[in-house]
Amino acid sequence: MAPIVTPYIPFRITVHLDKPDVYAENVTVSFSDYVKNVASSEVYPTWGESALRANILAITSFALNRVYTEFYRSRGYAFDITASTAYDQKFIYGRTIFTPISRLVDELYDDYLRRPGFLEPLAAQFCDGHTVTCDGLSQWGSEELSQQGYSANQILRFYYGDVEIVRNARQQNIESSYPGTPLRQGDRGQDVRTLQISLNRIRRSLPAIPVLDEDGIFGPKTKAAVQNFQRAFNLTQDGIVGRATWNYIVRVYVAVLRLSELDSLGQRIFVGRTLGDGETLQQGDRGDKVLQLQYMLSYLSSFLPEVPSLRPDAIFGPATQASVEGFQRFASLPVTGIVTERDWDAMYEEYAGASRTVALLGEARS
Amino acid sequence: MQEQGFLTIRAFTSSAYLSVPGAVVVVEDESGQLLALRSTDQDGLAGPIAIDTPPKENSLRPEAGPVCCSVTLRIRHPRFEGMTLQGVQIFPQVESFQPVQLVPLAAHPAAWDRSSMLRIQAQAL
Repeated sequence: MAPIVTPYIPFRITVHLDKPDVYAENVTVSFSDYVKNVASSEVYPTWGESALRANILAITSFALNRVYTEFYRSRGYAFDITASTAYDQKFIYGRTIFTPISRLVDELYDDYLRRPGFLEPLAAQFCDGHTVTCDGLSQWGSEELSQQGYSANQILRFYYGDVEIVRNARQQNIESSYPGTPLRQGDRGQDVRTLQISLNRIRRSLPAIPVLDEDGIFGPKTKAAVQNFQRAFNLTQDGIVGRATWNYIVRVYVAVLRLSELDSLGQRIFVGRTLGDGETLQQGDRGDKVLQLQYMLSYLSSFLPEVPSLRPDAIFGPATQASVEGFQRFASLPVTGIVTERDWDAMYEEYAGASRTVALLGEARS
Repeated sequence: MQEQGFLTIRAFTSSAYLSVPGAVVVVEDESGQLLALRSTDQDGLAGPIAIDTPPKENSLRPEAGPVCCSVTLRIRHPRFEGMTLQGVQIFPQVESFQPVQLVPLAAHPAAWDRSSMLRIQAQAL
C-alpha cells in the first residue's frame, strides 16, 4: 500500500471488537459514528462543553494517529483500531449515543491535534485521572478545569503542552462532493438539485420524507425533507445542509443505491433453493453457482454486520471465502470457508427471509 | 424536584437504514418495572420518552452517587429477530439516542433463535 503523506479524515474505520490477537468480529462504521460511540463510552454527557470538546479532540486524534501510521494494518491485521482500552479506546458496537456529544462531534469531527511542526495526528493518551493516572489527559481533570472556566484549548494545553488544532482537515472520498458552504432555504442550483435527487432516493428508507420536485430550488418542502432526515439521524434539526448533514445524506444515499442495485441484480439471477446433493463450493471455483452464492452473501451483508460485503463476479476468491466464513459464524455453522449443502440451505433461508421482509416493508409504504 | 432525561429509539434494518415501523418498544428499569411502552412510527422512531434520573451533580465529580438511570429496552416485531439492550443510560437533562439495527427472520425461523442481546457497559469513571 502506498504511504499516506497528509493525514485525512477517513470515511469509514474498521474496529476489531477485542484485543488484537483475540478472535472477534471486525465492524466497519463511519468515522463520525466511531467518535460519537467512543466519546459516549468514555465520558459523561453532562460534563461541561469545553471538557467534552477536549475529550472529543483527544479521541479523534488518537484514532487518526492509528489510521495515519497504519498501526495495525502494517502489522498484518485487517482493521484500523481495536475496541480494547488496554490498546486503544472503548467502543461498544450498537450502544446509545448522547445527543450533546453527537452534536459536538458533528461540529468537530474534521479537527484534530498535532504537535507544531509535525504532520501526524497526536497519539493523545488519556485516562480517568481518579483511579488511574497517565501521561496525558485526565478525564475527570478536564471536567474540573471546565468547571473552573477553562476553554477546550486551555484544557488540551494543560495536559498535552504545546499542541495545535488542525481544523477542516481533508476528508477521504467525499471531500469533492460537499458544495463547500451550507445549503439552506432560498438557495438554487445544481447542488440543491443533487440534494433533492438524493432525498427522493432516500425516501425508500425514510418514507416520511416528502416527494420533492428536482428543480434545484431550496424551498419549504426541501427544508422539511432535510429536517425529517435530520430527525431520523439525530442531527440538529435546522433544515440547513452543512457538512455533517451532507455527509450523512451521501452515506445513506450510497447505501440505498447499493441495496437497489442488489434488488436489480436479483431480478437477473435465479438463486437455487438448494445446492446439488454432495456438491460443495470453495476457493478457486467459478460459474453460475458461485454467482448465486455471491449474490446471496452480498444481499445478506447489508443486514448482517458479521458478513463482509463483496462484489459478485462468479469467481470464488478470498473475499468470497471471508464472506462465507462470516455467514458461518453468524449461523453457528462450522467455520470452514467451504459451502456445503447445509450452508447453502441456511443461507437461502436467511436470504429469502430478508428479501421477503424488505418487499413487505416496501408494500406497506406504497 | 425529580430530574429527567430522554430516550429516543430508531429501529431500522439493513445498512441502507430502512425504517422499521410498528416495532414494539418496551422500556423497563433495572428491577423489571415497566417504564414505557411505545410503537415505532413510519420512520422507525419512538420517543422522546421522559425517564426519571439521579441529580446531575452526581456526574460532575467522582463517586458522588449514581450518575444516570439504566434501563432495559426490548424491541419486538413479528418479522425480525427480537433485540434486548441492557444498561441503556439515561442522564439528567440529556437526550439519549438508541439506533437499533434489526435482523430479518429467516424464511422458516426456528423458535429458539429469535432474539439477541447487548449489554452496554458503563463508562469506567
